[in-house]
Amino acid sequence: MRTIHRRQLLAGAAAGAAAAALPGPVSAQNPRPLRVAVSATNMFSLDPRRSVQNADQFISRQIYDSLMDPPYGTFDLAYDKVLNEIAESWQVSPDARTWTVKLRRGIKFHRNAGELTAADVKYTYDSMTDPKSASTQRIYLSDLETVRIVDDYTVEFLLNQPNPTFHASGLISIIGSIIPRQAENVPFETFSRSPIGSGPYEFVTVDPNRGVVLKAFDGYHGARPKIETIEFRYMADPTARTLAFLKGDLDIIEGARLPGWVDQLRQQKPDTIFDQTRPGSINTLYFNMSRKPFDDVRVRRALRYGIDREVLIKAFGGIAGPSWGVNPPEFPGAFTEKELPEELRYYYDPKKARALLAEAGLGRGLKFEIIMTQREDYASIMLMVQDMWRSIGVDMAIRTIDHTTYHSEKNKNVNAVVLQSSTFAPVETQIPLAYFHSSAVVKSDGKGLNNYSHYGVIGGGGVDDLLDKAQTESDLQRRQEIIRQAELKILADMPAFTICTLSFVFARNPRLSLGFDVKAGYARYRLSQAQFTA
Amino acid sequence: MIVSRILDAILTVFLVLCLVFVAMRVLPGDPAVSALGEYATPEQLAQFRQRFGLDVPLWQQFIHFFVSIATLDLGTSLISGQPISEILLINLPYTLELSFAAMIVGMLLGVPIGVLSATRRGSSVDYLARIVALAGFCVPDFFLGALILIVFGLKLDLFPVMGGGSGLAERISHIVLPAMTLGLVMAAFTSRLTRSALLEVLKRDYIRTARAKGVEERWVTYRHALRNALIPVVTGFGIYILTMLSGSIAIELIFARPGVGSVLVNGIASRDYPMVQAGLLVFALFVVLVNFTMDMLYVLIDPRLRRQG
Repeated sequence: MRTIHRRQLLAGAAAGAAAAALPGPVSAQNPRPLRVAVSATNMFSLDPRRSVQNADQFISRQIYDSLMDPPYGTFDLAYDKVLNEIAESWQVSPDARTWTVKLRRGIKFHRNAGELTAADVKYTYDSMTDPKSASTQRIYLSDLETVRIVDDYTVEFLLNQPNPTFHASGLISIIGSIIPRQAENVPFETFSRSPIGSGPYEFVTVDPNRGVVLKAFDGYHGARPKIETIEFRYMADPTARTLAFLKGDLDIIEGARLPGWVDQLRQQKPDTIFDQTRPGSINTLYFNMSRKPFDDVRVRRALRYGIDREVLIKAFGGIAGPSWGVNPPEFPGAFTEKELPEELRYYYDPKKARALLAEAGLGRGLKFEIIMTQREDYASIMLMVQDMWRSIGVDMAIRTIDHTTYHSEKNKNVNAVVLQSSTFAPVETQIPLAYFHSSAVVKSDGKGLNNYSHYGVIGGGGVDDLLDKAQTESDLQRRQEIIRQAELKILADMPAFTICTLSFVFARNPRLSLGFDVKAGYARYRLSQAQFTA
Repeated sequence: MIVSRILDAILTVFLVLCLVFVAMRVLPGDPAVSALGEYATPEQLAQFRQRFGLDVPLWQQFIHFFVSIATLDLGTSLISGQPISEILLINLPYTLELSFAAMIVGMLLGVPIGVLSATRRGSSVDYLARIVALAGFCVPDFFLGALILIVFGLKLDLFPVMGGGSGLAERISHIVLPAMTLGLVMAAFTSRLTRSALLEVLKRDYIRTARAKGVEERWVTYRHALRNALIPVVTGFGIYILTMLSGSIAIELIFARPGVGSVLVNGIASRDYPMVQAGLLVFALFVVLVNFTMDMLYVLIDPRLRRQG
């Protein structure tokens, strides 16, 4: 078995970069590169084990094949719909504690790094779950006990508790992206900048002008990509991205999740195709129940009634959507509007809001200050909320700070009201467990987790039990039913509510076909079937 | 004089670095969280801090920081793991070429307009030049940049709208619009400065004497007056170059250009301490170099300073 050492890897990267500088083979079908601009300032890491940035993950999705994935352009994780990439087939044991995956034979890694086998799968997962590793994905694999090699092309994922949706949290991209085991001699930082995967595109170079350059991988086990080269540029400024797109210098740009952006671009370039990944991020407002008067359910409900979600959704011009329960309607088992009892739908009712505030002794109004990030999506939402609450006598002052500081401060329990935007795989347990279980409560020393409401610690009796019960339930439908019970309780107690979902939106050159329609998913999709149509 | 200037420069850089060191650590936000993400476990965060020496007392970090700078070791980025010297070597040329190009635009436009405005004081040319200069002051550079980008890049399609280009021809074409943006603002500033300085000099006795001797007006303006008027212009120019550095950060973002400004902004956003420290070290050295050059220029322009030694 060949071992790659750090120097060889670097030499390979250098050779790749040099090769990129030379006139390379030009595809007869599509000689021009596909140019994509992502919303980020620079590359953090193209090692999926250490990925924290959507922009990097969009690139990684092209470099790495995953064990499996939802059908392209969707977030459909029904067992019979899941698409196998590296996996040839898979099965889950009746107790949902053992997931067995059979691998395709003959899958090659880039740069002659050998054939992908069960040992590479085990290495990838071991390196993510190792307590000493700096993997950012470890948290998502908390229920993975070990990975066992059955034979060269079969692995078993043994879990410490039943999980009928382990594929969603642990086997699809980006976590399910497999790294060659020879990378164990290479520090994370080096691999991050010179990645080796088995996907349709291989890494060539990262350049301050062209960004990350990828080229079609000749040895790909699936259909060879139709476009030879992709350039991913990191462009943080939405105006710069939009203007370059309008000029035709870019084929795909990550959109600005700002009210009016889609409409304005559509006006400028009516034939633009907008790809949206619903539900996108889930934007939830948490009331800090450890602070007065937010410990009073009447106040929390009043604030909920004081928000006209329809207006807010309309302002975003089609990229925002509602969420009636804790889980958005796109998630399996989530509540639709009609399924909820009327009193838990919380339709906009400023009169009722004022009455509840008066009942709670706040008839003369409520005044408080929060800190909020300057990031466009957060700031837009909170400004609209501020305006709506003003009309029910609530004066919320907003002190704007930078995004990094906001995340640091909100994790120290300093805010009376917290807005959090997060993206999840469509797994019904993830949001309730991460944000409403008492064990996830936020702490003032910053060492707590994401339960910004203190729900379960203050109020919310019984919800912890339901969430714990759901976690040990191996039957998917029964699990969903338990989560729905917890959701009803949460909606009644109103420690938090989802203001809206906000799709990740990409504007696309109308002459570029992706080979599928983008309907749902994370802020990334495959470009291996893309081609210019004219 | 040179030795004293060098000592001043060292002290300035030292103070700037102290300030940056303290400011970065006072800012809320954790580089470990930026690098490992919001959901990193406390053990992972602790390991990260230990690995990069962020868990030792501040005074130890401070000493380590200065020892590294003294040994020209800028360290590695906490976020990407890339050597910082490598990052700066890639980005610095783009910042320097933008500053240089903007300076040329600013000087070539600003000084002649200022002279024209001063020598034709009260004329329509003077009024027009003053209005344009005032507009140049009022319009923020990021707005002007977007405007120039839309008109010359998008509508007229004359120049590229993003990136820094590679190869001489491409780099020149990529620098035109950003340099025009910064240069126009600088020209507005320079023209006003030149005008007022020149008007002041033109009132002096020796100018009257030169005119009384029958020296040609053009010769009086350019040979006798302008040279003396240039001293405050050079001072103002030096100051403006420094403020232009901060302007270049916005311009780099709008034109999606590589450069130290963008590196610095990224570093601050992700609390990448070594990156910000190194980026600001470069800026501080640049400031010192510009000041030093300005001092030398005074000597060249003003013979009295040469005699004072």
